Amino acid sequence: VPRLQATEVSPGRFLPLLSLTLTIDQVEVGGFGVVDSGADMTMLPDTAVEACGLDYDDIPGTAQVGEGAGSQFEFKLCDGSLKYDGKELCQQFAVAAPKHHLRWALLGRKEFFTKYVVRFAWHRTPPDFNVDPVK
Amino acid sequence: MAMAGRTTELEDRLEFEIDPALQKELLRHPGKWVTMTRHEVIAIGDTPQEVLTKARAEGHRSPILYQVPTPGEDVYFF
Repeated sequence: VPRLQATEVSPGRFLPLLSLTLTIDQVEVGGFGVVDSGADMTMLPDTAVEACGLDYDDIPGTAQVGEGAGSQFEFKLCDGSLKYDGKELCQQFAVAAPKHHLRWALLGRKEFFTKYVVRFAWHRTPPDFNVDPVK
Repeated sequence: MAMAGRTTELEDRLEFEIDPALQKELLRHPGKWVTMTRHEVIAIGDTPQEVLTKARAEGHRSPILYQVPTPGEDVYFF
């Protein structure tokens, strides 16, 4: 399994980012997701769905509140197709409210870790990791 | 020589989600919105709409949208 080098998102700060494709109502946009074993579910920034032409306020349904890392966050569930490496991860995902300024999708256990085995090598410089599809 | 060969083999198996040279280029634009491919910047601007519009006008059907973090910013909170 090839190793993926972590992305230097600010000087000296690395994150395990993967490039994703989001499609909503036939509008497609690319983005990045952080491989996040601490996240229950996959969550997208509002800017990602907005790039597909859907404002957060126009996502059907009511906002929900979840908890993570000692804080609460507001989100809505949204229908669409989220893919990594051409493979669909899910057809529904959470979208963080704009006030959270989420920059990347969080690839959580439910949608990502059930489909990929992830190994981190954060002791290396720069850090790297690999994602191996579940067979 | 054997060690050098092994290192090369490992390096051959290392892939990048974003080209390393592009990562360095992005670091020069903290706080900006960017549309890009995994290998090159398409547009840099202050809003996602601005850079998306430019990318799609140039024929990129599915550009990657990215906002470059600012140094020291708490970018990961959930």
